Amino acid sequence: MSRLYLLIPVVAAALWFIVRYRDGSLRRTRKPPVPSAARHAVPATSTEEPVWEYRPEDYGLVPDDQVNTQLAGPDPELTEALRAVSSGDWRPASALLAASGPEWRWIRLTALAKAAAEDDSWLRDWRGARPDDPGAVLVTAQSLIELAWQLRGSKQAQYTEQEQFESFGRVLAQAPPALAEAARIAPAEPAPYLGMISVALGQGWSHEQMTALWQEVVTRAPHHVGAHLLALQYWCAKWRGSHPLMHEFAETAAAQAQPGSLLSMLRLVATYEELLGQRTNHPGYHSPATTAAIDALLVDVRACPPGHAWLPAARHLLVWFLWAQRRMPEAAEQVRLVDGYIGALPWKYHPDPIKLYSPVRKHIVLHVDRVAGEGA
Amino acid sequence: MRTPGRALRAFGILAGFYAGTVGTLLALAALDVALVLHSSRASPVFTEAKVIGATVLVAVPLVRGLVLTRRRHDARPAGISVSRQEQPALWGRVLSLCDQVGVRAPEEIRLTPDVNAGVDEVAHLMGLIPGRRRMYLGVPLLVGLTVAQLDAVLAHELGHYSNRDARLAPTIVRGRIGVLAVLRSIGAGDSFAQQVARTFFTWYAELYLRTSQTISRQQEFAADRMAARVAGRDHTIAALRELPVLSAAYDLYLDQFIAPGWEAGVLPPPEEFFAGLRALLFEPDRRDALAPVREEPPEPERDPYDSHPPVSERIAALSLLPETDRVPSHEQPALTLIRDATRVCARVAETALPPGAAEKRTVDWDELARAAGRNSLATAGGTVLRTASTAVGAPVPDLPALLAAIDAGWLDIIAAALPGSPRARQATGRIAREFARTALRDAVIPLALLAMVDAGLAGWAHSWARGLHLRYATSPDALDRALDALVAGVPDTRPLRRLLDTAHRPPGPAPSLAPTGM
Repeated sequence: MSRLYLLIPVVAAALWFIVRYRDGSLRRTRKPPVPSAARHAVPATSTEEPVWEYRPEDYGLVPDDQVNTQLAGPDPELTEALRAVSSGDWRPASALLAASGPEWRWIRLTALAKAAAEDDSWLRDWRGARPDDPGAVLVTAQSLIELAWQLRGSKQAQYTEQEQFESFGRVLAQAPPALAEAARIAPAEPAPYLGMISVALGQGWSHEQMTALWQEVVTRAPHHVGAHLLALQYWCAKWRGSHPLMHEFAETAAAQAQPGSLLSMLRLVATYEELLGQRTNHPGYHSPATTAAIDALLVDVRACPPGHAWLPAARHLLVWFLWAQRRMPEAAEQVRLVDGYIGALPWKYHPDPIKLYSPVRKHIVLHVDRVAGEGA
Repeated sequence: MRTPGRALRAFGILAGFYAGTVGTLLALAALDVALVLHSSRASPVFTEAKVIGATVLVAVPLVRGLVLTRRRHDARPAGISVSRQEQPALWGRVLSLCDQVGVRAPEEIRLTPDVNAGVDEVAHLMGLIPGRRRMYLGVPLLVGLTVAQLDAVLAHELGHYSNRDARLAPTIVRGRIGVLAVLRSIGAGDSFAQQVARTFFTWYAELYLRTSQTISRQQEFAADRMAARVAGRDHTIAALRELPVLSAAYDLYLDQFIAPGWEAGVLPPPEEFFAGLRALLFEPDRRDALAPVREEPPEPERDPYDSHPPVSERIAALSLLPETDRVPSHEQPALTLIRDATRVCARVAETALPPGAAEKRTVDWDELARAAGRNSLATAGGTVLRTASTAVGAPVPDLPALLAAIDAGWLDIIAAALPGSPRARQATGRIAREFARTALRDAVIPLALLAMVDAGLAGWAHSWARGLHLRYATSPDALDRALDALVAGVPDTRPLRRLLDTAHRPPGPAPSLAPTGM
């Protein structure tokens, strides 16, 4: 019986085998085959310098990481005013808004309102110091609209949550009284009525209400490009209108416009809205109507005074449509005139605008470069 | 009548459990005895002691396994027992059904407060040996089914004990009930022996349940055929469609009427308990809402060991049967089988509620709505008050104190302290502030409604169609506007104060708080 002790190492060994077998270390495993190339210790190709690399700066363009995604074109005064408000000084902003014409004022107002939607401490100082400054009242009202849309987010309704809708509706409802105050202080100013178009969009106003509001806008600024672009949004299928209503609105505005007013860009904006999400080989990009709209805008741009607030935005649209039609030399001409700023359609609809802009301009400049090289 | 091999195998597994366990124990005992009797002088005594110790170690889990399978009879059976003398009509019905199905009659009938019916046997050795038979009958079935539909349900349950289709089937099914009961009541002992016993038994039980699954499924279809023969095919189908409806309605009843009252410390009188369910079931709006459940029975989440085929399959199988010639037409409610139904239902209702029911106040439905509604608002409003107390660092016991804190400039600090969604927590600056204010606005709503109820501007009403709901004496838009002002850019508590200040309320008719339902 004492020999039973001899069994202890046997049992221990058996247990060890069972445990090791179960965790898989005793089972035969196929080793992955070593690729033959690796055996010969060839230096990795990645360490070699690439033969050629595209760099925007070699073509006179601004590097990707230095492109301004906020503005459509250069506006040093606005840039300075934004820098000042971020450090708490509202005075340059006040002076700038007072000195701007209606088109520039609208663009600068929305930029300042966006800044105030992030942090409004400077705005409160401004209002405290000058309660009746029309600029301060305008920025206050417009910042509620910007804030409301940021609370909602830019996703479609089905991806937007209750909390976002509730906050959006609540803050947007605070805008009309503030806009009314701005309109009372400066009755001739169209900006408060432009703000109301955003409210109409968000609150889903009826076509009759919108038409009445539009009358208020055109009596103050009949050819305001910013107002037309905003109203076009209302008539879009994705908001309160339809494709036919949108095109009708764009056509009416463009047909009545003076050369150089840039209202002819509405046709291209409408076309872009309709083709949103389509590739540029879609027939809509190559129809005679689109070609005519591009050519009309090219004429309009040439007739336009150089300081027009919407000139860069018009050129950005031209870049896109000329590229879509593969009219590369013309597209390259527009790229060179607006490069460095992409805060405009079509780029600004993209979640990361530079990801859309960069390949397009690369395609354009390389194509033009190659054709020039072949010609030489 | 055939005894398929599968049934024999299942029977073998069940019987083998006992045979194997007891046999092993006997063998171990025999080994020990042999060792003691035939120990030679040469071998040291302690070795024998070790072997005997080892056999004991093996025996303990086996004994534990046997103990495990002993069904616990100490749990008090649900519901109330009704005797033959008390309920002659019900007993007569059941005895006649037993006769038609061809099974032994139950010794006891118990009325229970759930949507269920069943026949249970206090069998021994996991169902190997038959025992005392007991029928359970849920009062909700009596409330919601006709006599003919109840016949179908009971005939189905009794049919499980009929051996007309397969000789061993009743034993197999009884075995499943026994094994499942053991499996579900298996204790969570920590000792090594208990763990070994549990692991072993679980494995064994699964083997048995897997082997007997098909037999059990066939048994369900056989029981359905039995029900169709006794109660009529169409009544059986109707009963199958009605059971999920009853189940959904009863859950809704408990959830929307009883539970809110329980939270508030009030209960309906016992005789109203099942009367309320009946009122809910026969409310036209609710009937319409439950119609889809009737048309397309939902498939409940299935117990892995549940052998019931899906209801739709059972209905499809039944539809293929011919209708019986002599369809008994018993369209009166099954509750008519019960003598002195109000009192009996009240007694069952008393068993429906968990302990603690005795401390609850017994009230009528309107008072229950008022108490439950007020309590739900007070509970919902408590969160923001607690958050505000912590944020302010001083007690904020009620809405006036909260409004005073907001007037004192605490709005954004309190709002930021409320729990926010991930999106709100990621936001910064004004966006974060507005998300927080939206959350605060939502959190203040129950407090504001509570104040409106207390000021007589709104009242809770009872309705079988709508559940407990608020009725406003004024337009609720005023409250919306007041709350918007409370969290506006410049917070303004005045509109809410004005709304709640009854002193300034223009004299008008007091809100009618009469119930809209039955």
